[in-house]
Amino acid sequence: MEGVGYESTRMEHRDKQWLARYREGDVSALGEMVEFYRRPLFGFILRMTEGRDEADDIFQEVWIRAIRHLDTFKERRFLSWLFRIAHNLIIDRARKKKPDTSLQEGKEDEPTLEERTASPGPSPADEADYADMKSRIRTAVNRLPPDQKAVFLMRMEGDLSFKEIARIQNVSINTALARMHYALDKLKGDLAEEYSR
Amino acid sequence: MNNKKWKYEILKDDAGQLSARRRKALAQKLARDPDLSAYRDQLQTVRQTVRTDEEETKVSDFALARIQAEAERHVRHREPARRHDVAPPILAHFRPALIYATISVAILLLGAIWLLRAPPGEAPIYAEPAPRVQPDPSPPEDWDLAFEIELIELEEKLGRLDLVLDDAIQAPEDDHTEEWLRELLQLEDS
Repeated sequence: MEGVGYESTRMEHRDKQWLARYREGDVSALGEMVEFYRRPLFGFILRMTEGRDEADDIFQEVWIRAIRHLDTFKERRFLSWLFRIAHNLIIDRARKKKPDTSLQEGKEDEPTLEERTASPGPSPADEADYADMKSRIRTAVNRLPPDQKAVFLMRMEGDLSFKEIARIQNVSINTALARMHYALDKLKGDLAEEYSR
Repeated sequence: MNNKKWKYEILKDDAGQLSARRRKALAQKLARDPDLSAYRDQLQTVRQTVRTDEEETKVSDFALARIQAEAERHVRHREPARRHDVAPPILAHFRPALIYATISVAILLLGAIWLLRAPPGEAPIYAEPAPRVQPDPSPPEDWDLAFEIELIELEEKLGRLDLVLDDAIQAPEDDHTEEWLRELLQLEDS
C-alpha cells in the first residue's frame, strides 16, 4: 500500500503543474486535466445519476464551477475537490427532484434507467459470465441507500481515501468506514449466488 | 479489537491509510482468520468488477466544447487582472527606495518614542503637563519707591494732624489763660 501514498503525492505534484500552466494562460493544461480525470469523475457521476444525459450535464457543471473557482483552490488533491463539487451537485438535483424526501432514503422501489437497461435479458453481454456478474453488481449497487452508494463509488471509482470521502460527506472517518462496510455487506447479501460459486 | 474493527482496518488498508505497524498486525490477523480473509477477497473482487469501463465514460463533444469555452473565457478575463498585478516600470524602479524611506522613518519614530519613555513606575515625560507660570508676588522696584514716597507723605499728613490735635487739646489752656488774664486785669485794677 506504500504505492498508494506515492501515487497520491505524484498526483498532487502533477495537479500543481497543470494548475500553474493554466494560471499562466495555457488552456491546454485544463484540457489535459479534464481528460486525465474523466474516467473516475464521469464514472462516479454516471453511477450516481439516472442516465448518460444527466451525467453529461453534471460533468460539464462540475468543470465549469471548478474553472470559476480555480483561483481559490487550496485543497491537496484536485480529484477530491472535483468529487466534492460533483457530490454537492448530485445532492442538489436529488433535492429538486424530490424535495419532500430525505436524502437518506433508499431508492429500492424505483429502478433507475441504468438499472432498467442493466436488467438481465437475452443480450450478447449477458452471455459472458463476467459481464453478467458485473451487471448484477451494478444492479445491487443501485439498490444501496444514496449515502452508502456515494461512499462506495467514491472509493471504487475515484480511489479516494476515507479521509477525503469523510470531508466530502461532512461526516467522521468512522461514519464513512461504516457506510462502506454496510454497502459491502448489502452487496454480499444481494450477490450471495455469485460469491457461492 | 472485534471483527468489525478488523474489517475497518481492511478497508483502511485498501485505501492506503494504515501505518506499517498496523499493516503488519493486520497481515498476522488475516493469516489466522478465514472470515476476515474472505472479506478482503470480496472487497478486491468488487473493486475489479465494479469500476466503470473506459468506453462507458466517454463524455459528449458538446460537454467538452462547453468546458473548453469556459476555460478560454476565464483565461481571457484573468489577463487584465494579471496586467494590473504588475507595477508600472517607474514605480517598480522606485519601489526599493520607497521601502527604505518608510523603514527609516519608522525607525526614527521608534527611537524618538524610546528616548521619551519614562522610567518604570513614572508617567512618561511626553505625558507630563508643562509647569504653570505663577505670578511673581514681589513688587517691582519702581513700585517700592512710589510706596515709600506715599508713606512719607502720609506720615507728614499725620504729623500735621497731630499738631492740629495738639492745638485742639491745648484749647482749655487758652481758656485758662483767659481766666488768668482776667485775674491779671483784676490785679491791675486793684
